[in-house]
This record gives sequence, C-alpha cells and structure tokens, in this order.
Amino acid sequence: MKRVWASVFILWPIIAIGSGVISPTMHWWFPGAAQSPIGQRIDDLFYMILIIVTVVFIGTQVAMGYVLLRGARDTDGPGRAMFSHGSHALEVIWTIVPAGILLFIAFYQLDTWAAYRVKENYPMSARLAPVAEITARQFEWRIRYPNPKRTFQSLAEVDGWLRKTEPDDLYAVNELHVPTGRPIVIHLRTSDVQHAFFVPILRIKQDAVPGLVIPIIFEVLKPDSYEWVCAELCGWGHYKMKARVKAEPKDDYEAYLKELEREQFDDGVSGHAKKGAAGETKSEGAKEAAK
Amino acid sequence: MFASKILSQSGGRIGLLAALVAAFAIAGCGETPAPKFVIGEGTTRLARPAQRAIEAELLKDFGEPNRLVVWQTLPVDFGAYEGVVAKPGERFSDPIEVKLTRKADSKIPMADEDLRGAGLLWTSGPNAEGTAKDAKGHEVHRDFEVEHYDPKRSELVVRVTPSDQSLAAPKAGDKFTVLGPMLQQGHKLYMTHCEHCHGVSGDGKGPTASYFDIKPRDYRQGKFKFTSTKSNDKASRADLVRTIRQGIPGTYMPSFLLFKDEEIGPIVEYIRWLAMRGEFEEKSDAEFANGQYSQEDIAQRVQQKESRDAIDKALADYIAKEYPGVAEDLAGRIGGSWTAAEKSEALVTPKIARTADTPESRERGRKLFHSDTAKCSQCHGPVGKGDGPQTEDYQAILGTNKKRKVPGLFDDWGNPIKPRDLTSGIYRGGRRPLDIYRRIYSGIKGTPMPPFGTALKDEEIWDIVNYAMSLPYESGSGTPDINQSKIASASPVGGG
Repeated sequence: MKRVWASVFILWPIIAIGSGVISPTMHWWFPGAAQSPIGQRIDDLFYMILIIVTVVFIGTQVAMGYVLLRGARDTDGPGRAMFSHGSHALEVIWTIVPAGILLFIAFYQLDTWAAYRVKENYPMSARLAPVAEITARQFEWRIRYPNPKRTFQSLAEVDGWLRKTEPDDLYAVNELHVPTGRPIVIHLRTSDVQHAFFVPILRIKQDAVPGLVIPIIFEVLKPDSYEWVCAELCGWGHYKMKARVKAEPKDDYEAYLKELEREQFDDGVSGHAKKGAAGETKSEGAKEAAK
Repeated sequence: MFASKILSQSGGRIGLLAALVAAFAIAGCGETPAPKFVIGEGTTRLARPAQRAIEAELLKDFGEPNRLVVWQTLPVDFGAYEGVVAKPGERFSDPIEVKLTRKADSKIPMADEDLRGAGLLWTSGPNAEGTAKDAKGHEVHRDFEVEHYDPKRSELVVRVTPSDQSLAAPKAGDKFTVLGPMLQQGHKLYMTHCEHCHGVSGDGKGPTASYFDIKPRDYRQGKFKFTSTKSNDKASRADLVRTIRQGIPGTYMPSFLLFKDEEIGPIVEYIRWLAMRGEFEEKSDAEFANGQYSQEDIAQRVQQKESRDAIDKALADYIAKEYPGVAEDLAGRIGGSWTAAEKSEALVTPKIARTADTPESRERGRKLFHSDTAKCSQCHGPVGKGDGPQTEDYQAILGTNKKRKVPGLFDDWGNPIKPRDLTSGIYRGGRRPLDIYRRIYSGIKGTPMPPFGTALKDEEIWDIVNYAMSLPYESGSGTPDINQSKIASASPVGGG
C-alpha cells in the first residue's frame, strides 16, 4: 500500500511534465509566434522563466519521489522517527538561492519592460508620428487618425492633437490600420469604463483607463489581419468588442488613409471626377445611383 | 437514503443544501422558454375579437420565432433553393442525396450550407399534395422542413409535421423548393447579436434595453432614423447595412464591422421582415381603431345607447368579410414602400457638389441657421449646442392638438430626444458631408428634425453643412476638448 501511494504522488508530476511537453503540438500553447519584436522579447522572458521553473520543478519532484520510495521500502527502519530542529545551513541555502533567482529575473526583465512602458525610451520619430488615437467605449473601438498630411514638430503638438480634434482628422471604427516594419505609437483612451487593448499575436495588452491617455508602442513584423479584442471585462457586451488590426506595407497603408479621407469627405457628387487610390472608386452617391 | 442519512447526522442544514445542489445539478435551471412575438400596445387596446383576429392573422402570415412563415407578398429575400432528389432513401425519414441550386431571384449573400429549419415544398412526387388524410379521415395540412443538410455530401433530411412514419419516400427526380433559409439564418444571428436590445419582436424592449437612456430602435413603425432616402421613403438595405457595420456613435449601438457579407445580408432581411411585421400589426390596429373598435370607443358607444350586440355583430362581420382583404392590401402597401426605398428615385443625391468650405460659405450658412426658412437655431440653439428655445417649450403630442405636460422634444416613439449638439463632433448618422446633407435634405425620420429638401436650395444646404461642420472647431465656442484627460508619460498600469 505504501508503494501505491508513493507511486500516485510520483505519477502526477510526470503527467504535468508530459502534458507540458505535448501542449505545443496539441495547440494548447501560444496562438502562434509573436509578430512584433517586443512580443518576441516577452516570449523570450516567458521561456526563460519557464526553463527555470521546469528545472526547479523536476528537481524537487525527483527528490520527493526518492524520499517517498525510500520511505516505502525502509519498513524495518530504526523504529521511532527522528525529530529535527532544522538545519541553519540548509535554511540559508534555500533562502538565498531562490532570492538570487528572483533578483536575477527582476533585473533581467527591466530592459524589456522599459522598452515597452517608458515613453522616453520610444524612438522620437515614432513619438512624433502618432498613428492613431483609439477610444474604447461600450462596446466598440473608435479610431481617430491624424490626417496623413499633418506633421508634428514637437511632442507638445502631439499632446495638443490628443487634447483637441482637428477638422481633417480621419475616423474609423473597429479596424485599425498600421504600417509594418517601423515602431508605431497609438494612444489609448476610454470614454466610459475600463477596457483593454489586446492583440494576442503581437503580445500587446494595455488597459484603457478613464481619465488617462496611454501611449502604446509596438512594431508589426508581417503584413496580415490580426485579431483584436477587449481583455478587460467591461460590461455585458464585452464579448462584442471584437475588432481587427490590419498591418500593411507602407504603400498600402498610405493608400488606405487616402481612400478613408476620400470617403470621409464624400459629398456624393465630386467623386465622379476623382479616382481614388484603389482605382475605380466613385463616391457613394454615384455608386448607388448607378445601380 | 443517502440524503436522509446526512440529514440526521448534521442537523439538516448541510443535508438540505447538498440535496438542493444535487437537485439543480440533475435538473439544471429548467428549459429556456421558447421566444415569442409579443403583440403591440395598439393591439391590446382593441376589443378582444379584434385582438384575436390580428393575432391570428400575424400567426398565419409571419408565424412564431421558432416557426417562421414565408409570406411571398413581402419584398423580403427569404432565400430560395430549387432541389432535385438524386438518390432517395428507403423510408421517408432517411437522408436523401439532392442537387440544390439557388434561385436566380434570390441574390442577397447568405451561408449556402445552413438550411436548417427552412421550409420545404414538394413540387413533384408523392408528397407534392401537401395535405393528407389522418386516421379519422380528416384532411391535415403537412409542413415539411429541412431537419438537416450536409453540404459536403449533399445530404438532406426532411422532417414533417405532424410526423408520419407511413409517408412515402421521395423518388429520384422528385423536385422541391427550399423556402426561407435566409430568414432562418437572419433569425439565428438576430437572436444572438441584436435581440438583447431590440427584443424578439423588434420592439426595442430586449432585456438590456431598460438600462439605456437612449432607447434601442423599435422597428415596428417601419421607421429608421439615418437613411440615404427621401423623407417619405423607408430605409434602404444599404442604409441598414451601413448602420450595422458602422454603429451609431453617441448611442449604445456598437459597430458590427466584423460581420461577413453572408451574415449581414440575412440579418438585414430579418430586420426588414420584423419591421414589416410590426408595421402590419400597427396598421391593422389603426384599421380597427378607425372602425371605432377599441375598447374605449366601444365603451363610449355603448354609453351612447348603441346596442352592444349590434357592435359585436358588426365587428364579427368586419373580421370575417373585410379584414382578410384589408390585410392583403396592407401587406401590399407596406411591401411596396419597402420596395420603393431600393429604387434610385428614393436616393438623395445632391445636385451640385459641396460648396468650397470658405469663411464666406460658413457665414452664409450661419445666417441661414438663424433664418426663418431653416430655423435651425430654434432647436439647435444660437451656437449649435442643441439648446434652442424649442427644447424648453411644451410640444404637441403626435397626431393630436394636445400639448405635452413635460417640456422638451420627443420622437415618434414617445421618447424624450435632444437636438444634436453640433459642437460635439459626434455625428450619429455619419460624418461625411453627404451624410449631413442628407440629414438636412430628408430630416431625421421619426424625430422633430424636419426635411428641408424643398424649402432650401442645394447651395443653401451646402452652406449650412459647411457651417455645421465648422462648429466643433470654432475657437471660443465650447470646443470639444474631448476631456481633460491626463496624457500619461509612463503608464503605471499593467495590462490584464
């Protein structure tokens, strides 16, 4: 019976390790490789911690298994159990070693944290070219782009743009277009409760907090359409806050903004004469009348 | 025995709790009640026989949420497929292999593979009759329906109500039509995404609606506020698609941009169908009310010494002889108005391009804004803040001469409504100059915003558009400093 119990306690860490090993092939793992440099650095941190934890876990479980089995075998031991007041040396070791590991992790991750969170570390070129302001609300994402022709000379000017809308700003909802291949800054705010901007494949997650405008920096490596969701329970319609981030090469991104501008200033007539970036694009009125 | 043992051991309380937990675990919370179309307030005010007649008519023409009826009089793309049996089964309930083609007149995008719940009509073969004799020799009507369709293997299982095992299996070459899969799909999507605000019947009374100060649209008047059509026209399909995709900023209607075309198509058809159903009911109510068959009118007529029996008999006669024709007629008229909204004549397109947005144009617009022709400032206020004198006045109740007891503006649904604060930069119906032109040209349907298409020339409308669009950015007039938010230098908050 003793051996049965010992085996049960040994079996579960084996199952835990086993399921950990097979999880990537079973799609229980990340939703794909990180598509942003910061995401890759976050993944690296994750894997480093995972390795440390795995080594410690296996070590402690093997030691425990050994002790259990040994105890199960030595039934004819010395009779009475030995009572120990502990070992000072051992206690010092098991305090200092984990503390050292934790300190190492704490310092090791600082750079990644600072690159993501400290605005002063963002490249000035990205800070002076805000891609969009995103206003989360129950239950959608409203997007405001500065006009492509709008340039910002100073950070104060960017702050000014965030404080006050401008007549030629461009507006969209639930589909954010960003250029690939360069660091970009978006500014997140909310008009009601807390929400969180979350693009899993980029590993970018940031709460939107009432009263704050929070900059987020990231770079998208590969042009594609990425899932964008709200990651903070924000009310009964939380699940409705599904959107997408469309990352495009510079040219496509600029063409999109041009088309957005043409659509937004459509008067139903002038579109006849103009041809948008997408080639044969007429204004809406003209399109409908042609039907 | 187990429960009683625990009861005796631990003084009852824990045992009772355990028994309750076990009971809930086994029984669950009971079955969800089937969704139902509720009858409108107008119908409930009528005499009982009139109510019953309308309810019966609605059931016949529109059905119930779990048994939708395809009424071909209505200009709704119900989705239709023609099918031929390729390989029959042995018994009626066996899967049959079929060949399906979408009917040419059904064009709205929909998911081809999802035909579950759609009606099925045999056009040839042993079941084409549609009726049968039951055990007692009575004629019974048979409803066929698609129980299951597997598009990969082209396999179809047909269900029949009342169920009948002795029914002959269809033969190879038998023809049939599948009716209403679009409506079914629209219904399913509507119940998932829209119903909790707009209600099962489209009356804007879903469970979440009561928490809103801006009420969800009640479709039953057939009115939608933000359209591209003329003031007397309904909303077009394109208008509804746009509202669903873009949402309505400033209200609780969120954007459903991620819907695919084959999802949004059926949803829009279903919403149009619900609107037609609601309008059909409201117009029927009006017919009976005109005949003085509301409970109130009948009570009054009896007081004025009319014979109760005579009234009842006249009502019964009306229901039996005239109402069926009236109902057909109503459906035709309602359907006609929805069809008209799709035509190019209904579309509002400016005759001239937008006037250049110059200070002179804005100034002309500002003068018109305050003029007696446009009277914009009466509601929208002297600087467009939406605080004009009309918002303080006592308005007449719709369709009467009586004044309301509460000051302020109301919409056709009886909800208090505020004129747009034009300095806010929020445009519910879209921010394109074209949108604002259309708001002025056609007004906003169901609201006190009147149409100016005939009163104002295009040049004048564009001047007002230019002025209105400049308002959010005017210096000195309460600018939309969206908020005094602090611009975070380094975020102190983590994700999560």
